[in-house]
Amino acid sequence: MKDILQVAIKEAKRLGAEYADVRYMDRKSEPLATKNGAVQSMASIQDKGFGVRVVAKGGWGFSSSNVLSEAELKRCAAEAVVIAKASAKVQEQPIKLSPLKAVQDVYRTKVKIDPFDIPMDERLDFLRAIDKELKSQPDIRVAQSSLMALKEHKWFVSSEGSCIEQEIVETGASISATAAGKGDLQRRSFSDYAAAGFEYVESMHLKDLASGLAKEAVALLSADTCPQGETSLILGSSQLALQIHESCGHPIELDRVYGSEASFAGTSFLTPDMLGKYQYGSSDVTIIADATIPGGLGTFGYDDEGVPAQRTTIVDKGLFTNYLTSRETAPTLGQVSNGTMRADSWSNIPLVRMVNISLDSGDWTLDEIIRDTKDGIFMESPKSWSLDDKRLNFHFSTEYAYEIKDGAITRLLKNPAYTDMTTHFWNACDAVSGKGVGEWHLWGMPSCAKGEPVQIAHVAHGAAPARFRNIKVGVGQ
Amino acid sequence: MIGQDRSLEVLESVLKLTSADQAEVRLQRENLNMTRFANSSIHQNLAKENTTVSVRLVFGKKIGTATVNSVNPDDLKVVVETAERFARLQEDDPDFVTLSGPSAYICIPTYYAETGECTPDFRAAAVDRIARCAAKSSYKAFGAYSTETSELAVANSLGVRAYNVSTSAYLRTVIMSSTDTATGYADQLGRNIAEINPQAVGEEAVARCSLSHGARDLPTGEYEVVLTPYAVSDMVRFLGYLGFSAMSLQEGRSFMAGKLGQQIIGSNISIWDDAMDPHTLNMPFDIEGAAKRRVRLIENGIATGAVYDSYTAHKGGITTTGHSHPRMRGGMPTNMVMAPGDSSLEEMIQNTKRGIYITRFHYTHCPEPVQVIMTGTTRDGTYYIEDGEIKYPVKNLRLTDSVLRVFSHVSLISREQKLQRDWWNTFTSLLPALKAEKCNFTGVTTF
Repeated sequence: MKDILQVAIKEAKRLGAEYADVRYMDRKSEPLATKNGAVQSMASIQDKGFGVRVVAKGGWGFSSSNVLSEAELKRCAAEAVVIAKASAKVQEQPIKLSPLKAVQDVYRTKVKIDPFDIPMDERLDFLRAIDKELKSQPDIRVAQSSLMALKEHKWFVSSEGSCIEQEIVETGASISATAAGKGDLQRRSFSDYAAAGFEYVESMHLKDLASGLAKEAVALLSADTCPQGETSLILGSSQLALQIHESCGHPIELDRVYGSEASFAGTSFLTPDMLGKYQYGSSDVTIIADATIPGGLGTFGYDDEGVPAQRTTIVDKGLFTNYLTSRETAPTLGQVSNGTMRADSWSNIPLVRMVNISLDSGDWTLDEIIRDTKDGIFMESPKSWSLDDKRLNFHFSTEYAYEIKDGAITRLLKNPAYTDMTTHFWNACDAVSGKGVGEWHLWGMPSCAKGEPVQIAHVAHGAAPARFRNIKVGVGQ
Repeated sequence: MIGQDRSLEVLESVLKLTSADQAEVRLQRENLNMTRFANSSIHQNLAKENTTVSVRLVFGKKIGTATVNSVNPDDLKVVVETAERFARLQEDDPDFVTLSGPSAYICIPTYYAETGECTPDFRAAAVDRIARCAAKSSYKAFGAYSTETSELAVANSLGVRAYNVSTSAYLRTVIMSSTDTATGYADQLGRNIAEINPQAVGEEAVARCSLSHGARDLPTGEYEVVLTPYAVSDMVRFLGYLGFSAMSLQEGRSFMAGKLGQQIIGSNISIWDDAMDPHTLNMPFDIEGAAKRRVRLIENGIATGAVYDSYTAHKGGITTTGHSHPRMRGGMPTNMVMAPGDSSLEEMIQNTKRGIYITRFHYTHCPEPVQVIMTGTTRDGTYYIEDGEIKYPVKNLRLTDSVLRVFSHVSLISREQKLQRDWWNTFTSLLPALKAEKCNFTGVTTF
């Protein structure tokens, strides 16, 4: 593979490129989904091809093709150089990349059970059994389950001498129960994904979870609506993971800070003058970007620029200390890339993407936080999310909530929502759990959208339940 | 381009590989060229080509599918074998009746050579024009200019043979001030790049940005609103996404479920889907090769109908409307049109006592699908209107309200319609501007 990919490198250099890399990806996925025990989708998707990225006359160019041949590699290399020269015509500064040591390496996800080794009929039986549990309550109208099996084999070759082969395997599942009655629809769901084999799905105990979700969905039909007001908000682990994603993960993408996504996904309130000075959160808030955690959807050996996976402190006891960077953006801060450039396919260019961005555990347990809360609401399980284009004003709704009075849970609440400003929210954090067994969890999220054309990244966020004071809840009922 | 003859040749070869009771093969080729710019410089510039072949095989009432991005005979053989294997693993789908039979479709002009042959230099020159337009006011330009050529060929064992090649061009920009948080937006979209005017896009966005300096706080609460087609697109998106699919109606999830024939929004609003309208991104048939039909969705505020693919159509005992879509099982609208009125944006402003002019929304979501409650913030040009005049720009606000409620209080609709893609790029619709008497805002931003 290395030899044939070198054809594009040589051609790009011959045509005047200052820098070139080629990425070949062969991705196989077998999405399987059931609804009320019947197959909704059972498909095999094979997707392979290569992309050539060059810098020529100081501008970026990229061309890709699904046909791997010497002729096509040369055609794409030539097209990438033409495109780069066109880019250079409307450019204030030529592209400069942070230095990088050439690497020859192989990285593979550690897998015990290759998900593709599980026969499809066994996977289907697995989901049907879950659907049966989800339908165990008479008011459940729709039971849905899905399994992800993905294997991505990719090679990266650059004009600087790197040659990296990686094999990433991902699995995971999503299940939900929708109850109907009393003129209402209520849904409870659970989903999680990891860079791992089928052993991860087995460890999720989905059948046990399913019957609980069904009961909760039905109970929500009779629950009171979340009241409006300002109160202490305790977020469960999965909701907090999404909160980290939206209000920390996106605004620390340095390309976004510089306006790369301004016309679509927006920019960021975290401007470079705030680096090292801005109190992003309270002293209970420490947030780490770590692409080396075993099993994370944001875990890899090297990013798509050939930069090794790293661990970077983003927020240190509340202080904003770093961004997610690339070889192009890092030098503007006097840094080298911390290795976050990823593309979702061979046909797209790599962008600064989240890796595993996690809130460090605190020294509370969830029980201790609840006992310590006089008036509050516990919310969990993401339902909707919306943020402004600088990631300041946000509105989240969750599938369910519990009211807390005098240190104890008093009643189930439906249609909960909360809204706040990012700057206030993280500084209002006064208790983070994680001391209890299993409270901190790394949640895989295979659906992070960014870029034009839109790319879907697979990322992860670790969190344990935490409390935030004086948050507006019950908005938009 | 692959072309009609070669595309159908590939499909015929695949159909011969299977002994399934029914078989459908689809070939899609995409050639996308996109130039993105930020800070008045091109920072991303790409070309991508891909060809996928998708196979759907039917054994009795069991269906298997598989996809590969190759036309290599060995790969096609494997994809057929996989689909056959998957079909045999399944239980009967009692609601499946048959794949679509042949339906005559009208060949309409969807391909424009100027778009298909557009060069990186051409796009760079357009970006340069917008950057110069911004520079005159000491602003910076951000955005993207893309051209796309798409081929779709469908064949099945019931005799469907369909082929179409289409082009589209899309230019959008956000103009930003470097001294404060003022921004302005504009875009243009069409099948023919000759109809895209970069100078006009740049000037429109610069004009909005120049009106946005010194944005003030505005308290939350209920206001009248004037919504440009950019903003209307994100509201119509929720109707299309949550309610107009036959499957959402059949499953009772749609806000129109059980309400067909009833008034659900204001009687001055009519929405239909018409893929043959040349003012939309027109398309003669869907991914099953079924001819696209005009579908009335909401007429004079009354819930009227939904769009169907062959599966939901057979379940409903009707003929498919030609709305099979890879992103939504059971039918998805593709070319929504909202009926124009007899007003203009200027008249809407003049008829506003105390309201907000909204250019566009950002990252909208729907916390409560049954009531179609939408939440999202404004961006790139939000202004306070008082006594018929734009008084001053305001800091962006969070709208949280039911789209059905807002569309029940529309008082003015513009004569002009604009071909508009929503923020999420879920739909491309032909939409007017609207003035609504009631709209609820629940939060503010700091810029």
